[in-house]
Amino acid sequence: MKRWGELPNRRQFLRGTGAVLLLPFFESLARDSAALERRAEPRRFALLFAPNGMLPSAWKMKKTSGDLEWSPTLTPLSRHKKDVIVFSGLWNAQSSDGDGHYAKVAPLLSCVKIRRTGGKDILCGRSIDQIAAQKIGHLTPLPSLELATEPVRTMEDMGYSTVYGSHVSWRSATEPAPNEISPRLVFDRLFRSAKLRDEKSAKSILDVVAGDARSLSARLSRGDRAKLDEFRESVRALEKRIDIATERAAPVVGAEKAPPDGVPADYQTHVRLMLDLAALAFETDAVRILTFMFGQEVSGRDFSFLDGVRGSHHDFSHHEQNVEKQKAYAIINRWHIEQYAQFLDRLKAIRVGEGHLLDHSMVVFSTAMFDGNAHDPHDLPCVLAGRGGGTISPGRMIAAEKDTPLANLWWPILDRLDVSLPRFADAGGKLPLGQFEPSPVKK
Amino acid sequence: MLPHLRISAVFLTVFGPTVALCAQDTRPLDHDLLFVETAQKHCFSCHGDGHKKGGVAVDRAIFDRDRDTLARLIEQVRGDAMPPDDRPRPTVAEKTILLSGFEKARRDDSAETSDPGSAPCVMRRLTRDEFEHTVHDLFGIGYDAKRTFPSEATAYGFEKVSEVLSLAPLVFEKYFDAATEVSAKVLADPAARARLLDAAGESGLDDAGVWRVVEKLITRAWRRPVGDDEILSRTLLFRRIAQDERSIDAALDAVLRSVVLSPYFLFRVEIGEDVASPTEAPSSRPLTAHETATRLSYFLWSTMPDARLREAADNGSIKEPPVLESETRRMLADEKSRALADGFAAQWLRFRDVLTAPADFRRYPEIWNERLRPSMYEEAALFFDDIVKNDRDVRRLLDCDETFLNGTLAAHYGIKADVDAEMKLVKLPDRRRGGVLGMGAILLSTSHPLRTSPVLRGKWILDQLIDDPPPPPPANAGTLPGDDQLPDGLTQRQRLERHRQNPSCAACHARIDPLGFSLENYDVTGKWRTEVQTKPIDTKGTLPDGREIDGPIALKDALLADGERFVATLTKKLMVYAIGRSTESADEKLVASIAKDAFGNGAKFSAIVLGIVRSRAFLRISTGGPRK
Repeated sequence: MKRWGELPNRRQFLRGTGAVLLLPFFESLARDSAALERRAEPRRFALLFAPNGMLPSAWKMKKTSGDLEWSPTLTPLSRHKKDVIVFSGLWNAQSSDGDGHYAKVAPLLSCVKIRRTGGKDILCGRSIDQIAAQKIGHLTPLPSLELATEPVRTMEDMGYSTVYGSHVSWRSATEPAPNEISPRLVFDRLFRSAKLRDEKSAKSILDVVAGDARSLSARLSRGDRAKLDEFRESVRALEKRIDIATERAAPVVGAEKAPPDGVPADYQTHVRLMLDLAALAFETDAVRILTFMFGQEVSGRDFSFLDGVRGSHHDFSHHEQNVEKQKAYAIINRWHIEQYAQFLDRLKAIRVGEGHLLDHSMVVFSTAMFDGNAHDPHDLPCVLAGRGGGTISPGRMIAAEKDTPLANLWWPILDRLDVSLPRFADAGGKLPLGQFEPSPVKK
Repeated sequence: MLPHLRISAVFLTVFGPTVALCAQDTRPLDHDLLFVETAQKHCFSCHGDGHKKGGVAVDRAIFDRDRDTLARLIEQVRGDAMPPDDRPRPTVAEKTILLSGFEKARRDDSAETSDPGSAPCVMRRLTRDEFEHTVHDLFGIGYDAKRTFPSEATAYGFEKVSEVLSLAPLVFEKYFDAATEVSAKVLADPAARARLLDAAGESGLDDAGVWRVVEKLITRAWRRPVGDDEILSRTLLFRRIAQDERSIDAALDAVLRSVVLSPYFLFRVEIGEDVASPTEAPSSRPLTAHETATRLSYFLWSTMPDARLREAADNGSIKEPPVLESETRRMLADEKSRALADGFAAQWLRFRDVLTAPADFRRYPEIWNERLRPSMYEEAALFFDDIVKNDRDVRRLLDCDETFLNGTLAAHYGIKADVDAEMKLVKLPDRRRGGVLGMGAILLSTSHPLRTSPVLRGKWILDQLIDDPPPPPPANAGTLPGDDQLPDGLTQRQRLERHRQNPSCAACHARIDPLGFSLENYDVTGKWRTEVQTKPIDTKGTLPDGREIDGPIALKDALLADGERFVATLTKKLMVYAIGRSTESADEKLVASIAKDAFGNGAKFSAIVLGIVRSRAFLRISTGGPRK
């Protein structure tokens, strides 16, 4: 077998697409198997989002005399080289003309432009995780999970509500999916089904409450009724959870696995706990769709716990080409990739049949911009890990033509979550994630 | 088509036939056409006729009645940020024409209303703070909602704004858990349990007893008289669970949880009086007595009405102006009005951020003292609370000869005062402290970890104290270093001045920076200092109106000189907090007149509050019908 990083002869420029260059990381792509696809194991999807972009010079994979070389930031992924696809050339046109950070986060998973507003009339689009959750979420105790580490900031900054920068998951165009930041509460929420099942009166209570809502609804004005509809929908969602809990065996996880109460003061511990829970949630099939935000956009988190960094994330992202600042920025970037790589370690440690859970997952790491100094929307730093149950051939780089819509990545991912849409946002085609999927890709 | 004519056609829809006539006739230009020409001359080469630099097209904004963009245009032109410095300056007359034209387009909106009562306001869910307080007052037990609920979204600076109060499934699940926990606590607490069951009377929990228990519970919990069918739904639930589970406690538990989870508890339902008199405007109608009492109670106390206020609602007297006034005064003096400090002031002045503001603890080791931040918070909260409870002049917030200190804070400020661990109102030796501008809670909340930020502080003053928010910075405006102690030896002022050489930055920073620089004597944690890195601090600056200021005392004098502006700002913020929606153009007049009256009345806090609670915006709701 050839050395890792060497570009094999079959490196191909897919003719007829004019758009995508597939650069295998290594010689053998043979591990894909139709066998995997036939397995009944359901697919999981996770997005790990990091704020404040990435330093391009440290991120970009370099090609030296035919070899593809892991960049400093991406090096932690080299141990997963057979399981990841690194993308280049993608961008989200719908987030490109807003100033600064906020206009880029909310549209990340929806590819729908947001309304510039500092307040109440928030408007963007439904994100792919929520689209999928609304389709397949009923199959698991929880339809989806939205994890974060920082409480939502809601103020106006640069003419935008910071709510846009605090949420990648949007239930609807007007409503972000609230993030959970306490590991203990995530745990309780994930594994409460057993409790719900034992609660005989819960359904009767919800019945009565739904009755209140019905009689109230008739007396309300239109705007109030919409608010109440949201309430009624949430009552129904809980009723459904109780049904699921009663109908089938709920995942049982020992209380000893429960994290301590409260939000850990130490950020590294916090991130580890959240990603442990994410892996546990996937392992127990308590949820199949989740998002995790390392931080909110414009996060000024103090990363001084890393060697060579003294100061805040957002400050370093505005490095102004200062070499020292760039160094610190790159160290922070790499730390994020290392956490991502560790999450992949966890999934790979979970055996499923011949393989492991990552084989059945699609775990994306992405930021909402490239160089934080320029708020650059082009060439989004984006990685996909996992085989999506044998439908994805990782172990390569997909170098898309400059400014290929990010939606071209989300659309085929939705396919793999059993959501087939006739079109999706501004997607012009689907990136060829599977090995034998040379479908034409238009911009 | 000639550009000129095309533009006129666009404007036609906004300005009506006058323009059309002018375009066809050759009659003297009237003001509207003058506006068109002025906008063409100064704006359209970048922002019109198909150009949309920075995503802004002035002609589209006017055509679409894009109120947000128009508001920004007004800000930009008023602040001389637009046209940019490399373009010809509009004359004073042209500037006036542009501003009044934008204003007119902004007002000329179908949503325009002159009845503040008719502005739509979506039904408000209880915020987590309100939930906590209400549960406490209803059952006499404590519940910590901050532990489990996600933090609430805010709009216009406040959590109470109705439309952003989500009830997503996650949030509802939290309420479900909360209801379960609350119910268990009530049933386990002998006093709370006895209070719940006392309505049953001698006969205990027979059918009639259960009926009475339920009636008393939901009348209080839902903050209004209830119908028999509503009582029935809970008594039936009681009976069913009591039978199924063979347990009275399980049945009580189900009733309690169903009451707390009901939309009648979780929302502040406002439907209004049924009868609309023919003389009334059809666009709004008065709140019922109970709705009025509830609004008042959540405004001033962030909780449900107490027994006395409920009585004033039951007998309808709360709708009589003298009772409304006496109740308002009673409530302001009551201990529960502390909710205004923690709910309103802490959000308005942003001082609740002090508890989490990321100061660098190596540069500022005093941050290690765990009592420091809470003390700072308490200083600000108690100071505001004192204004509320003792009905003082709100201009004390700008300047005051006393403040609340404890030992920790007095030592931090370097003030010799006879205080210990308790916060106490202390006379100050000089004017460096006193008023919010000298409070650690504000100064720390508006700083970066390693340096102060004259920009953040200046913007805070513009936003929170004089309601003159600067427009957002352009994309890629750049940032200053995160540290003010760098080898290059430059001062903050030198760095910022370099930034201001960029003309697109200069206009706004000319407004922001002098305000911020005047506070440079306060370091990140609010300590007094006279130099940074052995260089003396320069706090001089010129305000846009030409006044020279130097240091915090001069800044206070400048703000006090325009005290009415401050009072109007406070009034507007308090109005948003009270009515749970943004203020619209119809409210603007209202706010101005309340502020003017209050200002003429010694700027007493009660004058502002009474102005608000007596207003149509507070006492009425939209019918959803045609607005007037």
